[in-house]
Amino acid sequence: MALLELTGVTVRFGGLIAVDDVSLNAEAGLITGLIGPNGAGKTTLFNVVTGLEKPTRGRVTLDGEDITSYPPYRRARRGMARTFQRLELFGTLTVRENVEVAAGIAVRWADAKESPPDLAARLIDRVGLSAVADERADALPTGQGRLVELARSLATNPRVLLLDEPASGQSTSETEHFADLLRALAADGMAVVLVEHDMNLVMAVCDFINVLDFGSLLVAGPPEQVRSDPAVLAAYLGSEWQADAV
Amino acid sequence: MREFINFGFSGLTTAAIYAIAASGLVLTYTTTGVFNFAHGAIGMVAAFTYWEMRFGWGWPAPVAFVVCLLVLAPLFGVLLEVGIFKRLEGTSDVTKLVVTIALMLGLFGAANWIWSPSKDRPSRTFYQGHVVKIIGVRLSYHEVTVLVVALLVAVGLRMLLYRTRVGVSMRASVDDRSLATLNGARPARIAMLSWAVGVMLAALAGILIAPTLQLSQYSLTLLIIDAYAAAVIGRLRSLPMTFVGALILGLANDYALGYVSRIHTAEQYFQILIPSIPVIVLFIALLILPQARLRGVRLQRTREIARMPTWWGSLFFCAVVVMGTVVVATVVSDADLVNLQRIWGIAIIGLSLIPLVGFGGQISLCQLTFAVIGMIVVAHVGGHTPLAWLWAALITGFVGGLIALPALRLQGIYLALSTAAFAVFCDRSIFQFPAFTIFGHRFDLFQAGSLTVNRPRLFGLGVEGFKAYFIFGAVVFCIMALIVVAIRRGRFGHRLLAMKDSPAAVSTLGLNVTFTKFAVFSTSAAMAGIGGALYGGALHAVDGMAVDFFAGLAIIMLMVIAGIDSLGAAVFAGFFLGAPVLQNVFPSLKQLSTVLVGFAGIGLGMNPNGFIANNMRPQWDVLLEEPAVIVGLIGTLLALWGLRLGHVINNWTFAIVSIGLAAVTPPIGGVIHQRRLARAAGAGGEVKERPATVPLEWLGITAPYRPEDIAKMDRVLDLKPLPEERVPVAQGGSDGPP
Repeated sequence: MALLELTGVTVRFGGLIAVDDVSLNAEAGLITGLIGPNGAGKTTLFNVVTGLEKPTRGRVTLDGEDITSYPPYRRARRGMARTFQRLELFGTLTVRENVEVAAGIAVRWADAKESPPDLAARLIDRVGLSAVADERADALPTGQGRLVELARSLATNPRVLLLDEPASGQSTSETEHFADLLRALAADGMAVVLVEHDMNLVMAVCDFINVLDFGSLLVAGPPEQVRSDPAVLAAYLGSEWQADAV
Repeated sequence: MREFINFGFSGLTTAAIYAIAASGLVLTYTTTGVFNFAHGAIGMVAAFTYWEMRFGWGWPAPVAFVVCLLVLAPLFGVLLEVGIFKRLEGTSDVTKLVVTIALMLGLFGAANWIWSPSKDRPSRTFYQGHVVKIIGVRLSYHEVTVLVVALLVAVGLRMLLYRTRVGVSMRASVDDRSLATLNGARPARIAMLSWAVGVMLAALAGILIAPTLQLSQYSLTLLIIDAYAAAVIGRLRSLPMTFVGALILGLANDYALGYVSRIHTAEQYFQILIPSIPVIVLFIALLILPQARLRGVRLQRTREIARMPTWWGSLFFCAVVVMGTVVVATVVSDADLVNLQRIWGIAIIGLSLIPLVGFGGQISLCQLTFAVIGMIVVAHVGGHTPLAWLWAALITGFVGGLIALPALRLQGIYLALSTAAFAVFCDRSIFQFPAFTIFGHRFDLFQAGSLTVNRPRLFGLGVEGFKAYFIFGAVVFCIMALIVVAIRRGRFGHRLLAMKDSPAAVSTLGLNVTFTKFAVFSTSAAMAGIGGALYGGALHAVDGMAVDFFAGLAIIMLMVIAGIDSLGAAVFAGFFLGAPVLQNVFPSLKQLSTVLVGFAGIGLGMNPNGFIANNMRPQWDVLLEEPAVIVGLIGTLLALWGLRLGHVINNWTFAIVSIGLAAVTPPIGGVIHQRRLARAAGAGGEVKERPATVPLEWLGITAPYRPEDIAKMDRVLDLKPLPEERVPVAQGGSDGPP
């Protein structure tokens, strides 16, 4: 049994089917990729998993517990954390306060060994933001803003971490550093789910990749398989492209 | 049966007017994102203008009608968009809402000023005296007109939105403004049109309803509550459902009016509830509405300053407040103190808004109502025990939470709507409620007249005297202010700010957003209850008419104008409303303060942080680096006080010189500060004092580059730092990509 399981999830907005009967898993200790063209329903799926969106049909279970009807905060308290594609920073607070707020909220249920300020300092250091720790969060460039969101979600000591395009806005060297960080998090036993457009990063770090297109699951498998799948290439690049183009 | 049909028809007429008013409200809200609290006030002004033309100047009805409705109303609408609302784009929802409330207060004050409320204005319905019989029911021509007009409005709006090009763009801009622009719509023109139509509908409703109500500024302005009760049933979006809502309201209202006299057991209680039917319907609708999706707030580089107050700064502030109060208490007469005592109660009510609005980004329009509840509690507990104040805080906190609960699941705008509705509900019904008995206990809120609110007595020490109570008030205010500072500096305050910045993010981090809103709303209500207890003690006797909805709105306006997260704003609000300065200087202009507050609030869009954070604080902050100037100022003020106590100068001289000194000190201090910097720079090379923040694109033009600027640029543009030798000027040669 996987740590996070989605079964037959469907989301309709009026006449539009944003997510159509998607089932997928995320295992503890692995990095699961979720890729697909813009509008494929990746963020909507994240919203369903974290409780910001109610699915029209389908089930979400976390460690065997059905959490489909739980509000976002109850899911967070069972170990679910995420970052946002469109940054959702606490702009009027400093970077340190951003992470401290999260640590303070989590202190009641996450068994953290450190006090919120200590935990915040350590996580800010871990994602490499110590130099700007006392800047207001809305003064940071996007790439660093994404790291703030990452540190903030790590402060809740999650079991499942959903990252929505964490590498966009980051430079090449930052992305490399980021890949190492992701591997380290998975090695700690976290189930990492990654939505990303940077194929190099996805192929390099993911153990398993799910491809969404027009709301439904196109292909699921290890990177080598997905890389050469004709349906994926067609969805991403148009049907005339060859397998060696990726 | 005949009666049932009769009441039904009159209910339909009422519904028709609600529908006209509500559809205008929904139209502007959906197309421009501004919820227009001034909708009723605009209808009121239109009704008075029509009356003036028709009966004041004797114009024929069609001419007056056409001029009001087809010339002045659309013109005013366009003016509103161009002059005010266009500039509010990108500001927070609270700011937008507050500006429309300001407009409402401004129009209300102006209308009271122009058309004296004490004069009787007999009005006549259209086609007075003509009736028509439909299935045995006698309908006046006026009623028929109203029904036909409502039908025309419904058909007209439908045609406008679905059959015309501009209407289609209007609907598109509801969904996504920038996307609509990309597709060739012109949002500026659409917004103007929607304001013009919205104002026309408000005016139409006002003119049609005025002859059947009485022509009064108060009740016509509050038509907004009835209108939005209908609109909430349409979830503020759907016009057809809004018409259904209006129908429910209108029928409920007129059937209740018709049948209440049949109830013999408790008629007086039902009678007093009738004016509140729209409010009751509104609360039921709020309970039924499905939970809103949590949305993120689009991260915009807000112009909001969120400054963390220091403990030393706050203590200094409190010391100044208490000292200032002592000085004032010693120099003014007891007659003036009767009024001045009210300052601190009002200031605490203002203070109660800081955690809620300033930190949490929620809004409440009924803080003054909580204050009245606080007064009632203190009066009912009786005696002089300080425990009464504790009860006041607990009970108002509880009531506050209860009121907020239905709206907390929904978007912020619903909290504003339901708190305003609650305030009006209390004004119209609860505070007028006759005594009743439940389980053998007799409840009588105002004990059929006025309540006596006692002043507390601590350790045998009373504060009965004017001076004592005035100073006591300042001390209580300071304690509350320090509580606010503690909230801001503590974990709760950070959570509130985080929730304001992104409700979606805090909830996925594990914060129960609804509970947090509930907690801050209750806290704020409890503070308002304490403010009310203090205010009530200053008034001594309170009756059901002591306060009204508009007075409560004025407190919020003043807070926002001065700066909703500054403690100083609360003092400002207290002084402005509590000290009778304006009334004393301009005794003939009773409405002046309302008008002033309204029009100052309209300017808010340009300055959402309030004038304390924007103008005063930067000036005084400089002075902190020049302690000699501060010591000099305090010394001079104390000397003046000495002169006043020795009767060398009188109060006017004392006040004018003190205020003058406080006004000129920051500029003088600024000059001294500049001089000293220049002298220091003269010794160590040329350093020009530069403004605290230079916009990045002006660096190198208005201010010289410094190494830290380059570092900051690198960070903002996300570049790697340049190698040391290349920092001053880029060297020649081929630069490969990094």
